[in-house]
Amino acid sequence: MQALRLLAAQAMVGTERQAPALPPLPGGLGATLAALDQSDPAASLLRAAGVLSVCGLAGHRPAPQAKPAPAPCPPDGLPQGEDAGLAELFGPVIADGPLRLQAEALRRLAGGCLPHRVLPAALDLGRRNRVLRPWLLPVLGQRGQWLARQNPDWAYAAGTADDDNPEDAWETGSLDQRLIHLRRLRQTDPAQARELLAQTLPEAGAKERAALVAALETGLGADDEDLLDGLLQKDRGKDVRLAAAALLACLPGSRYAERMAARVDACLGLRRKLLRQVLTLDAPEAFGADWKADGLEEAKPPHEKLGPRAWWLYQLVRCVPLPWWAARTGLTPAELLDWAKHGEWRDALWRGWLDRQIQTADPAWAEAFLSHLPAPQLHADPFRLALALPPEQRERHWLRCLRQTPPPAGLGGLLRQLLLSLPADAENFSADFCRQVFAQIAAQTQGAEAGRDYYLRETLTEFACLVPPETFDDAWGLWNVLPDAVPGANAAGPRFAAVLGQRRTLHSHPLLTGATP
Amino acid sequence: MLFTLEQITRLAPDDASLKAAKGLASPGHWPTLGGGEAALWGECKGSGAKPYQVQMDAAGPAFRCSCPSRKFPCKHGLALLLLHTAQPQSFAAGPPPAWVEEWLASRRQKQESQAQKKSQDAAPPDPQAAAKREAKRLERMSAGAEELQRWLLDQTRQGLANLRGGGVDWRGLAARMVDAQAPGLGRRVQALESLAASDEDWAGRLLGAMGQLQLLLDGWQRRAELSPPRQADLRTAMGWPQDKDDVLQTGEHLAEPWEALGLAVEENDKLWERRVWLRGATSGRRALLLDFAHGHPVFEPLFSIGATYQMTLAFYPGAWPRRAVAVAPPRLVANAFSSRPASLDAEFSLVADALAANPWATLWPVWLGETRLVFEQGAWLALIPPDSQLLLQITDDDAWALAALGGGRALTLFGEWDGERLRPLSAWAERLLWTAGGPH
Repeated sequence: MQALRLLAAQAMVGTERQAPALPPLPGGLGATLAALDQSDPAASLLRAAGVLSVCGLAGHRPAPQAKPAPAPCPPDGLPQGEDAGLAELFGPVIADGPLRLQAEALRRLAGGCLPHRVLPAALDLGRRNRVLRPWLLPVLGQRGQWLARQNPDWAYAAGTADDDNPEDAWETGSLDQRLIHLRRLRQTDPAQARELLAQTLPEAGAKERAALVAALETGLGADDEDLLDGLLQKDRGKDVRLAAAALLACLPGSRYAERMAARVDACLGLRRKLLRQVLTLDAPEAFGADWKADGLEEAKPPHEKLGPRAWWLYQLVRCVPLPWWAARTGLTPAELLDWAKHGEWRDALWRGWLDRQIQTADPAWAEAFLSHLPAPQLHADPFRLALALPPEQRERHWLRCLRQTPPPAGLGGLLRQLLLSLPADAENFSADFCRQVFAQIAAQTQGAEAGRDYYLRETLTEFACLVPPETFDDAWGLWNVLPDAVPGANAAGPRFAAVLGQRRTLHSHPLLTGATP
Repeated sequence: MLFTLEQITRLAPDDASLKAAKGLASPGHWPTLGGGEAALWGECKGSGAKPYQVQMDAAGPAFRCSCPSRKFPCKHGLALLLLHTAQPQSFAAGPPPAWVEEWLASRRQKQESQAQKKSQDAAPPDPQAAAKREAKRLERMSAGAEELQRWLLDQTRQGLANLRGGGVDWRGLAARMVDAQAPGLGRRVQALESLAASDEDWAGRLLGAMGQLQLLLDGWQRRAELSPPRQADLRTAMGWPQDKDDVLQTGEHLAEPWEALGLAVEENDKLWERRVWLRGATSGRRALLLDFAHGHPVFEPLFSIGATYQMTLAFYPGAWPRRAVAVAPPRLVANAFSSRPASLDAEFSLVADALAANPWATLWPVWLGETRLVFEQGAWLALIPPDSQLLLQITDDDAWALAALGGGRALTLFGEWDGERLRPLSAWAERLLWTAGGPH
C-alpha cells in the first residue's frame, strides 16, 4: 500500500502538470506494472493503481497486536447470567420500565446477578440514575464488574466489589461501592464502620468526605458524637461541616443539640395572663458570635420570605431535637402547634419543626401536623408527613386524604401526589388499601368528572408498581372496566399491561428469590 | 411457532411500533383470536367502540388491519404475531370468519392471476426479441461505461485534489450509471464519494478504488476475449446478474447440509438487502444467498443462524462461484453444528484465492476461531492468535452486547471482510452467543 500512497501523492495535482513516475517494484507485481500500456499517462496511472490495489487486497496481512487482550472474566456460576427467559424479562424493564419497577426488579435479583445480555443497558441506566445504584451494584455479578472495567463511562461500577470480599469494595471500590459497604457495615457493626471511616477521611477529597460522613446516618448513635464534633470544628470542607451538623442535630443528647436548645431556650419566657403563666417567645435580637461555627447562616438567602430575626430563629429550631420541646414546656406537639399558631413567630417555628420532623419521622409530630392541615401558611405534603406513621395508620390516613373533596385534577392527581411522596424503594401497599383505592376509583369513574381525570390512567400504571401480588387480578379487572371516558386508554394501556405482566413474572420466576419488598 | 421474536423484531417498521405491540400482546386486549399456521386473525380493543380487525396471511407474510395507522405492519399486526409466538393456545382453531375469509380469498385470487400472467408471459419465448433486448441493454451499459471512462481520465489529468470538497456532482454521475442500466457502476461511484470525504489516507484509498474501476472498465471493453465465467463476473460487477430462473435451470447444483454462518440485513433507500452466508457441511464450500425486498425487510425463507439446513443450491456462474439460490425450500436438520473455522492464515489465503479468480467481488466471508474482542481508544478490534488484530465495523450497542455475552472468552467469529474492516455477524463460545442486530 506504500506504493499506492506514493502514486496518490503524485496524482494530487494531475497528470497534466506532473507525469507519474511508477516506482520500480520487484517480482511479479513489478513485471505486471511494467507490462502496462504507457501511452496515456492518466490511463496508465489508473491501471497501475488498480493493480496495486487489487494485489494489496489479495496480499493483506492483518496488523500485529498493539496490546494484549484483557484477562477474561472469572466465572461466578450464578444461574441467572445465561438465562434467556430472564434476559427477555429484564430487557424491557431496564430499557423503559418505570423507576419503581426497575428498583423492584433489581431487588428481586438480590443474591444473584443480572442476565449478561442486559448488562450494557443496565450499566448505562445506573450511570444516568444514581438512585438505582445501591440495588444495581450488588447484582452486577463478576461479569458486570468485568464489563464495567472495559468502559470508562461505567467507572462508577468498575471496582472489585463482591460479596465474598467486602473489604475489597472498601479498599479499591468506587465511591458508590464504598458507600454501600459502609452503610451495610453500619447496620451490623456501627463502631467498626466508624473506625473505617475515620481512617479513610484524611485521604479523601472534600466531596467524597461529605458523602461518606452523611452515610453515618445509618445506625447513628451517641458514640458517633466525638467524630462528628471534630469534623464540625475542624474539617475544611463546608459540605462536610454541614453534614456533620445535620447528624449531630439528630442526636438528642449531643453537645451540639444542647447548644442549639440553649439558644432557643434563651428566646423563651413566661408572661402572666390573668391567672395563668403563658409561654412566650421572642426571636434572637442578634446573630450569636459562636453560631457560625455551628453551621448557621447570618445572612438569609435571596428569596427567603422570613425576616432576618425569624430566619435565625428558624435555623435554630430546625436543629433542636423535637423531644426537647415537650420536656421543656410540658406541652404536647399538638398544643405546641396551637401555641405557635397564634404567636408572632409562627412561620419560623412551624417550618423549623416541619424540617426536623421530615428528618426524624416522629409519629406524634406527624399526627399533630396532619391534624392542622390543610393550613395555607404551611407547605407540607400530607402524604409525606404520613410516612412517619406506622403502616396501618399511614394507609388509613392516605385513604382519608384520597376521600376528601376531589380537587379539579381528580383522584388521579391525588394518587400522583401520594406516589411522588414515596421513596424509590417504598414497600408495597397492603392488599386491603389497594382494594379500597380500586373501589373508590371505580365509583368515581361512574360520575361525570371521569372524563376530566387526565392523570388517572398514567398514575395507575405507577400505582401498579406498588400493589402486592395478591391484588394483580383486581388491578387488571379495574383497568378493564374503566369507561372509555377516562382519558389516555391508548397511550397508557400497553404500559399498564406490561407492568403487571412483568411484576407477575418477577414474583413467580424460580431464579428470583430476592427480598420481597 | 410461526415466527421467532427476532424475526418479528425485523418486521417492525420502527422501535415505537414494536414497543406498543409488546404492550398489546396479552389476551386481555383481544376479545377474539383465531387461526393457525397459515393465517392468524383477531379483534383488538382500541379507543373506539368497535374493536380493530387484525389479520395476517403467513404466505408473505401479509397484514391487514382496520385501524387508521399509516405504519406497516401496524402495532396490532405485530402484537398478533407476538401473542401467537408466546401463547399459541390462546388462538381458536377452526375456519376463519367471513371478514378474514374474504381477504384471504382475494389474496389467493390475486396470486393466481399473477401466476397466470407470468406463465402467459413466459409462454411465447421469442428468442429473437430476447436477443434484441439484450443487445439494447449491452449498448446502454457500454455507453455508460464510456462516459465513466472519460470522467475517470479527466479527473486523473486534473488531479485528485479537485475531488475533495463539495464541487463534484457524485449523485448525478451515479444516477446516470443507473439510467444506463449499470447500477454496479453507480454503486462504485457512490463508494468513491465516501472515500473522497474520508479522513485516513483518503487519497491512496480513493486512487486505489479509481484504479479498480479502471480495471473493470478495461475488462468490460475486452469482454469478448474473456472466458464465459469471467464474463459472468463482469456482468455481475456491472450490476446485471444472471436471471434467477436461468440459474435454477442451468447453474451448478449442489445438494448437502448447509450451515448458516451469518446474516446481514441492510437498507438503502427503501430497498432492503439480505445476505445469508452458508457453508457446505461436507464440501466446506461457502455460499451466499442474496435477496432484495422493497419497503419492508420481509424475506423468505427464514434462516436461523447456527442451524443446519438440508437443501439443494444452484450457483450463479462465475470464476469463483459463490452466490446461489435455493432450488427448493430448506429443511432444518439440526439446530447447531460442530464444525469450527481453520486458521487466520487459511482464511486470508481463501480471500486471496477468491480475489485472484474474481477481482470484482467487494465482500468476503471470514470465519475465525479463538478471537478476543477489545475496545481500544474508541475503536473495536478483534485479536487473533498468535499475533494479529483486525479492525471491526460494529455499532457500539452490538459490540457491548457481544462483550457482555463473551466476558473476554475466546470466541468463534463470523463476519464480512471488506478489505479494510471486518463486520461481525455472529459469534460462538461453546454455542451460538450472539448475532448482529439481534434483540437486546
